[in-house]
Amino acid sequence: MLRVFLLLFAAWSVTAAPFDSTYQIPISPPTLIQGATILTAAGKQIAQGYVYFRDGKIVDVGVGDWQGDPPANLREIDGSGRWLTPGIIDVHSHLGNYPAPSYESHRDGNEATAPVTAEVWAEHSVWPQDPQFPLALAGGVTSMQILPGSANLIGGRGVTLKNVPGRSVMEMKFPGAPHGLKMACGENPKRVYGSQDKSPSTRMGNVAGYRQAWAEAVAYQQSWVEYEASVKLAKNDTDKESKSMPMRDLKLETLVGVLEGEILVHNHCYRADEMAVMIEISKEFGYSIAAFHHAVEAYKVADLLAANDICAAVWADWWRFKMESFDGIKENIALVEKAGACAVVHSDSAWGIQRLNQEAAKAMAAGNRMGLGLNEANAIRWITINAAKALGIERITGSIESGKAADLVLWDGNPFSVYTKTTQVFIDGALRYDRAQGLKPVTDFELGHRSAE
Amino acid sequence: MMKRLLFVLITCTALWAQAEDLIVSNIKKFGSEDSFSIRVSNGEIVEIGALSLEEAHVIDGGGGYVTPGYIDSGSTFGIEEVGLSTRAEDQKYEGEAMGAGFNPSLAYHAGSSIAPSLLAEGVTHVFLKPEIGKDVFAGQGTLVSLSGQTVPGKSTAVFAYLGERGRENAGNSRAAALQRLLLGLEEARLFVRKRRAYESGSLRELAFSYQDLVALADVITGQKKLVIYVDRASEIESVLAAIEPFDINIVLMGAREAWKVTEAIVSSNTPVILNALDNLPLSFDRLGARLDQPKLLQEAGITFAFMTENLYSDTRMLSQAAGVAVSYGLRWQDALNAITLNPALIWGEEGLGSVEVGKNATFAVWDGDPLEVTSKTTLIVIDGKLINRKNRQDLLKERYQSLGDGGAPYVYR
Repeated sequence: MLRVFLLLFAAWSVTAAPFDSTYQIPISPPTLIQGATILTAAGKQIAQGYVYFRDGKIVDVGVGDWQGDPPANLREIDGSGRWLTPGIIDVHSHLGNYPAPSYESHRDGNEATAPVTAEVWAEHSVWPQDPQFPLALAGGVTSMQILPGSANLIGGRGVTLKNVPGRSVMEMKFPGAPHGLKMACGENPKRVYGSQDKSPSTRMGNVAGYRQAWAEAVAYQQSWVEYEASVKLAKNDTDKESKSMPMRDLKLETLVGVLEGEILVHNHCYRADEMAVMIEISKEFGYSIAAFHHAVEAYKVADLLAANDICAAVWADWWRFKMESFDGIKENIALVEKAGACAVVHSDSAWGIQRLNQEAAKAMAAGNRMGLGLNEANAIRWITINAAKALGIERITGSIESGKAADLVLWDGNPFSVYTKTTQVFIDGALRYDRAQGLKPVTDFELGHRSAE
Repeated sequence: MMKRLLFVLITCTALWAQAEDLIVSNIKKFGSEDSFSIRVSNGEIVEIGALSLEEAHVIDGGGGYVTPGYIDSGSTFGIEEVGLSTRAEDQKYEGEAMGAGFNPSLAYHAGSSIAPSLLAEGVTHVFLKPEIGKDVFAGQGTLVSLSGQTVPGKSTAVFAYLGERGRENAGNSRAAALQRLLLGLEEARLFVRKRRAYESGSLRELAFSYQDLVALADVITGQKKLVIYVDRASEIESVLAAIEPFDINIVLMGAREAWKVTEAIVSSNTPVILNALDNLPLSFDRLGARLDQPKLLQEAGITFAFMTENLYSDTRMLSQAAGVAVSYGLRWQDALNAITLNPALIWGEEGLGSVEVGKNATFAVWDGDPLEVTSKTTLIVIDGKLINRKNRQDLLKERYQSLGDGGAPYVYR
């Protein structure tokens, strides 16, 4: 019996977990981009530099001309007059979950049937044929997190995707990226449930709802600890079998994943006072918050965010579309940066995701107008390495450094200008978009529509 | 006595100089390094060039770039203070009594705290757009100034929604929406011809209410334009053909597939209002949406203006929309025209939309390229008056810019 158990255990540990990434890095030639202005997101701007990458990884980056030994099949790209940045990363997107066209049957982002639905996974709603994915690619977006919506206090797991075509979401999943957990403060959950005369209908109801969920998660975690301890102490096989294994609870399993640090909390939270309350809850139950999303009032508590190592992910200028966004200011991101916290520009929009560079530009300009002395080397971090940090993939991508993924964007000018567009986008060294050559993915949905010709 | 009279005279002269003449000096047109001044008198631009700076209140433009004030051709600013908050919203009439007759500009909030934030982005005028309520006709549209002092002018348009939004208010068919639109025009034509019979009660009963007929009568007589929100190419063609016999002035709005039917639009001389940032195929009516549509319409000879349309793509994004259109092939001056001169002409305010002698003195001065996302205004003049752009957002920034400095509690700053 023990042998059977061990065999089962071994089989379980070597087999891929369900829904694991099946994304494969395509084979592409070793590539040298030379002569470009480079924003590495890991230091200063390089006026005239090169990047050499092969087998999906950046090998070398530097000033001037590359001095390496060129392989026979080297692909050379003239970067003169162009700017090179890491691939843009959006920490907050609903592409695939709210795809275009946006008909009722396509709306798969909010399991708005109970205030806590930690058991649902956004990836199980992703439609890979959403024609908005290629539009984001044309905007330089190479990775993004798809999150459940904000109807619920705890909406479910988010997933980080490579912006590559796939027949299933598994073919798009970013290998090694942790899951996110979507939580939501404020107006949305209390409106959705309050309007049905259910809890929560107030912000205090929201807080009670989070705390109750975490209390259940702690108890569930404990039941497994006790079970495993009792199995370990069992005198013999019969004794071992007599211990009853707790039943898996998908909702609490996700929350325990957070308590154990495997799943990162992405907390939709506009108002400063609510962010402070959410930090208290995280301390009460012993988890960390990776990022506050839509943190329109982050500038009011930027010191608190810095002290607790929490990123603030925000729009550059969205404001007043609901009461909790009324105090949005354009200097928000810059003030978060000034306080030493992790500033991220996100989209939450299939329009905005196409122009995250312009959004960062607005934030940079607003900061400079108040004398913060920001430059392109600061601003690029808000849409690359800081976003990667929030997603827990900063060791893999998000900056131009040797050993990192060759997720790169070439621009026809300074990316922090309204007139600048991408020219080429590489993901893991593979050319996925080339504006001049007309190379772009075409989703199944887009085929054969006379009206789009 | 004589002394006192002299004193009064001197005071009056000083006031006259201050109130009547303003010179904004040291400004440029973007693309040129020649600096000049603008003299403003009685709300009008009276002189442009190298001016004598005497006898005027002079403001140094700091070498900035001047543009006409920007006009957003479709926004709910001033009739929608904050989203998802019904008691702060007046842009939509959901009763049964009227459609075309609804005039949301009567609720326009000139003192809105939002205005100074929009002014800071160079927007001086907004065309108030009613949102669709229960009829195919949504109500009337009015161009308003953000100066904070003006009550809105006369409404100059009636809005009708076809496409997906119109069909919902017409028993769930696009065909019925167009039929409802045509019925409104037919009844209004009858109302105009037989007004006396209508008033005396001897005309047959009409489907549209008195308020609706009064508004639509202005469309029939050419005093108002009919703005038709429609996206699908085939629907644009069919509505243009169906409306042609009425010989009225129409404006297409949305029109995401206009580029496919430019001939019909050109031959009917119809202007178009675009949301230039929207290229999403969000419905089967919009599969043809594309970012280079402004360039395509320009090449076809169609007059167009830009709108920001809703709270998410806020009025603050108007110049960004123009800039993006430039990046997709539109000439810079044509993009600027789409948020200045073109809307002024489309909405019948010929005094606005350009910086020229004889025109209304409504302009902005910018610290950089006026269409660039990193630029901001340094001053705004509306109707000859310098406008205070200080806003809630500035005050919030000032309150929180030095966190934890041990100073006074935030609410006492």
